[in-house]
This record gives sequence, structure tokens and C-alpha cells, in this order.
Amino acid sequence: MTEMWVNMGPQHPMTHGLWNLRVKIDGETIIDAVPEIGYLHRGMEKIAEIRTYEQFIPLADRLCYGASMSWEYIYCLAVEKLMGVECPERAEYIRVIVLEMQRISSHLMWLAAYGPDVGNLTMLLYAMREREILLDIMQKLTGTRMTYNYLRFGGVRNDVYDTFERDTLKALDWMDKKILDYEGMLDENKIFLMRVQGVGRLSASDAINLGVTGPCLRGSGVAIDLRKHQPYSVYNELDWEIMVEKEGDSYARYRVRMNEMRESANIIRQALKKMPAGPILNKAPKRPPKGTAFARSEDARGESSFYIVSDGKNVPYRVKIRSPNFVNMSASPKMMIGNKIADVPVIMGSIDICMGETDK
Amino acid sequence: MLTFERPVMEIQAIVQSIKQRFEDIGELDIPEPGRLEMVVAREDIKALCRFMHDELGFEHITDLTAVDHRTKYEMVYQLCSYRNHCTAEVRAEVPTDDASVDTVSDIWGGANWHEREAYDMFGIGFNGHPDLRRILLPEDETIFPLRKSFKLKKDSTWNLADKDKEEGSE
Repeated sequence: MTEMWVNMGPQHPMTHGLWNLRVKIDGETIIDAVPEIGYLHRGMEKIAEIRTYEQFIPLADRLCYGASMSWEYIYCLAVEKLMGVECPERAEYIRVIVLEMQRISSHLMWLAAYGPDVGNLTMLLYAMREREILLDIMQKLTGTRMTYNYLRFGGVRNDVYDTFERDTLKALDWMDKKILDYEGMLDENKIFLMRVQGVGRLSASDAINLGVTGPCLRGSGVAIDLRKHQPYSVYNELDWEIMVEKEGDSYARYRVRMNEMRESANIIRQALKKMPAGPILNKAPKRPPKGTAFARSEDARGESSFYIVSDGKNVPYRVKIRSPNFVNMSASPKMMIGNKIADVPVIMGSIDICMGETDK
Repeated sequence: MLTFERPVMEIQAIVQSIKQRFEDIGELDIPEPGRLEMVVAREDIKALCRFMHDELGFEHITDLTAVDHRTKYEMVYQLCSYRNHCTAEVRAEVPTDDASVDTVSDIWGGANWHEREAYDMFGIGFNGHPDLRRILLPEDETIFPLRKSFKLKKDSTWNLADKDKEEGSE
């Protein structure tokens, strides 16, 4: 028998982040796979029990440093439910705009990492260049490029600067042209298509049972997006579509993310037009009442949620963080079995793993 | 392509069928539109989850966690129904000296790693789990960090404060 366990170890160019993968191969075909995580475990849930509610906002940023605004948002949403505080309308529109910009930059970072995984090294710098334009806008707005500390309970920290709308529209117009370039470089490239099509299939019923959410679920033909099915903020006042693909392979997941980038640009343009004038921060109490709160939202990678238990003190009693990557990674053996060992970077890259939120 | 446009069962019908099947379920109410909450005994968790998955259309488990209330643990399950457009929260109490529950990973495959994390952090056993071992901490670690009895600086095996004092005390 030629079966053996191979360790695609913690140091490997395809592991963006730090995790281990043990595959059992028979010749070149994969017959079993075991991902191992925990190298970046920082004890966020335990630290949350000795920090005040506001002191946890910068820590929630660092859960996934590549898409930090969405983690701040979901934490602020859960605490606002607990306190019974609502945001003014202008703050809701600003939140939607920065969340969608965060989604675009997260997908661009995924694209910059996925291209080299497949073999197209030019993609790295092209996608990072576009991401830099968006990060410049976020730096002018919040002061930092990646871990923003921008949202507060009841609104946002400061209003948009005076040329924000003009800068954003210019960046989005430039991005529209460039996404056409990326699609030309990848979608019309026979080598990319041969590497990516038909690889890593995940059926719809498997995806739902294994708890997969986000672009991995929508790439398998299931039209679920929390922004439409359980609308939060002002998403139900804007006009946009869910992007779904039927095939369930890595190419479908790639197409879903490219289409989502265009749709996010559409949402940002509408929100900029509709944004009213007004206050940006409502007053929130210093400590929330006793009780529990559960809030979930559609992160760039899937469904993320916070469950907070409070006993009336100024620190939380228990904070549980549900990360979409944690569950998507547990479903990855199902996608890998039956493929060749050279397909492992293609499949694992199409899940878009960020270890910060997986290991907490 | 699977789309979920309108709810198949209304939330009141869901509440009625749960009440008919499990008469002694506690605190079953609707705190906000589209959300159910209930408290169930430890022995009934698996039967309730099987019923909700097979007949009430809760195809997706969002979260599975535990809370340490010092005298007892409380398991919290967050379920979601795509076709009925609602979510449900199921809570159950578990005593601390006999901390074990039946696994639900054969109903929802997505609960597998959540249960491993609950075991890793609290020490709660899951009967019938196919592969119950630690996931975030090293395999040979003996502490259960999220229990309230585990205080951060004193009984951690990574007690950096005392080590610094010894090294730099001259």
C-alpha cells in the first residue's frame, strides 16, 4: 500500500496564518484530512471578562485584523441590544458605508493571496494596490489603516471628513475598471481555469448541514445572505442582490466574491446619496442591565455572532464569539477528499481563512 | 439553486408543535419577532434537537456554548431555520460534578468543532462524540481556562510574573 500521512506543516507558503494540515494520501489522491488549529489562541473570551465593555472594542478589532470593522460592528450590535440603545440614522448609513468598504478590502486581500496560491504571482501586487487606495480613505476617516476602533455604542466616533464622498466615488470608479482587468487576467486564462474548475466540490445539503456560511455557501447554490434574511442596520432600505453560483467548486466561490465586490460598490453609492444630516452618537449607559443578548451579521467570510451574558457589573460575565472560519475549516475535509494533493492550496485558499478569528 | 422566499411554517405554529410534543418545556416564549427561546432538561436535549431538525426545519446550528454560573453550567444552543425565517435559543442546565451532555454532532455536522471547543474550555464531556479532543490548547494541557474557578494570574501554568521576579531579582 502506498498510503501515508503527510504533514503540510505550520510553515508553508499556502497557510496564510498559522495552522497545520495533515493529509492521508494514497499515491497522489487524498483520502483523509485533519486540520489542526490553535497556534494563535490568545484567550479573547477570558480577557473579555476582565475588561470593561468599551475596553473590549479595540480587542474585537484584533479578532480578524484583515476585516476588523465587521467584528467591531457585531460586538457593538450585541451590546446595544443589551442596553436598549439605537443609533441615529446618519450613523447607520456611515456604518453601512464603512462595512461595505471593509468587505471590498477583505475580498481584495483574499484575491491578492489566492492568485499566488494558484500560480499567478502578478495578482498579489495588483489587488494590494487597489486595497491601498481604500485603506488611505479609511486612514483619513479613522486614523488607522487596519484596526480602527471607530464604532461606539450608539453611533460612530467621528463624522466623515469633507471630501469623503468625492474620494470614495473616485476610488469606486477606479475599482470598477480594475475589476475588469482582474477578470481578464484570471477568467480568460486557460491555466487558471484548469486549476480551479471542478476542484473542491461541496454539495448544498452538505454545506447546510456542516454549518458553512458566507461565499462558500452561496457558491454551492444556496441563496442565503443575512443582510437580506435578517436585515440589520439600513440594508433593507437599499436595493441590491444576493450573488449565487450553482456549481459548488472553487471557481464558483471565486466568482461569488468577485461579484460581491461589484455589489458592495453599488451599495456604497446608494448609501452615499441617501445619507441624511444629523447627529452621529446617541448616549449609552455606563453599564448594561442584567440579561443576555445575541446578535449576528454577515461578515466578509460568513455568519459571525456574539453572545453576551451580563450580570449588571461593568465587565461582561461571558462573551462567546462565533467565527465563520472556525466552521468553514471544519468542513474542509469534505471538500478535499477525492482530489489530488496539489489541489490543497487551491481548495484551502478558496475558503479564505483568517486565523485571528478562528483561534480567538 | 435553493432560495428561501417565504416562511413555510409560521412561528406560532412552531411554538404549538413544540408544546404538544414536549409538555414540560420551560419558558417557551417569543422575545422579539422571529426569535424563540426555551429552557429544557438535560435529558431531553437530544430528542428536542432531533425534533427541531427533522420536523420543524432548523437546518443550521449557529453556535453551541456553555456558561459557568458557579454552581452549575448552562449549555446554550443557537439554532437557525432558513426555510422558516426564524432563530431559536435552547438552554439547559448541567451540574458541575457530573458535567456531560449528549452530543448533537450526528444531527448537525457543524456542531462537531463547537463541542470540541466547549470540552477544551470547560471540561464538559459529550457522550457519543466521534473525536473528542482538545482543539485550541495543546493536546497535553490539563487546565480548563473558561471556568470561573480558573483565575488568570494565579493558577495558570504560564505564570510569567513569578518567573520575571526570580530572574531579575539580583
